[in-house]
Amino acid sequence: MRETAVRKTSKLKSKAADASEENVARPRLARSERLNARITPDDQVLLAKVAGMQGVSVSTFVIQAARAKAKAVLRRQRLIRLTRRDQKALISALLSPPEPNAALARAATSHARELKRRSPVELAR
Amino acid sequence: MTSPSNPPSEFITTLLASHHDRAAFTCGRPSLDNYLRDRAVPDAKGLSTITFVLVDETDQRTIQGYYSLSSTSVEFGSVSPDVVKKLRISKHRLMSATLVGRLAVSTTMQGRRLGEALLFDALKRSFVAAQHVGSALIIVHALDENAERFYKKYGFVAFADVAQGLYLPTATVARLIR
Repeated sequence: MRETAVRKTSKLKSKAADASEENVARPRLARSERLNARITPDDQVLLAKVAGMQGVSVSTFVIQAARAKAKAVLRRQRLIRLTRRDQKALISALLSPPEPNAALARAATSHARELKRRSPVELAR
Repeated sequence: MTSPSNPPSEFITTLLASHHDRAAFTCGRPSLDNYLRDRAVPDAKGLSTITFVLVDETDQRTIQGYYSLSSTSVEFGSVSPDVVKKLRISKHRLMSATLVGRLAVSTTMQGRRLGEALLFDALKRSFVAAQHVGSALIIVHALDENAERFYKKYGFVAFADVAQGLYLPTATVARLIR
């Protein structure tokens, strides 16, 4: 089901009493998707309270929070920004890579053992 | 299925495919189970993250463990021209890296050193991939302190300021392969 973002916001607003209408009055946006989610009564109370404190509707609050979280996850996967001390340590590791330690050498042995144990038929899959 | 360019006998894992029973996999961490069940296939189709599974020798459906690989980048702040040259950091001060985003062994198979065999498989694949696309750094994402201890044991170093991130130069792994 589809509807405009503006209509969706105002619809929910009639339920979430305390958000001001002006805040969300925006020009018509591209068509949007509906997101349905079940929520426990406790979470409902919490979200309504905090969204009210920020002067936004529950749905706006939830979407903003989810977007921030999603972007943080993407950022972490795509780009890792280094602080000065991390950069310093990383550069020295890259300039003189450490020899594999004993545990890593043992992991290579475990790997070789598993390689032998497992049938070539399976590995060809 | 397309055959990988490397001889199959180099790895203990295989590409995740539809005949693998993703729903039955449990490792004790719901987020890792859920990823395998819900996201691993679409992510692999979109080529953003590739998942490799360890299957039972006799039962091709049962997944004993898995890991997923993707590309990431680290961004440097100001670096001396000397370091830029030596490490071949791009002019945007970015360096590409391979991310072992997830690694899990099924509950029934834990305690048999499969974790370290699986880790080495992931590192070996990262090294082979680096020979094709260039990636001087391997980064892992540790979900909790146990996972962090696990990676540290094999020489990974925790970033001071990147939450749950640890790294190991690809060159260190190369010494065990070449």
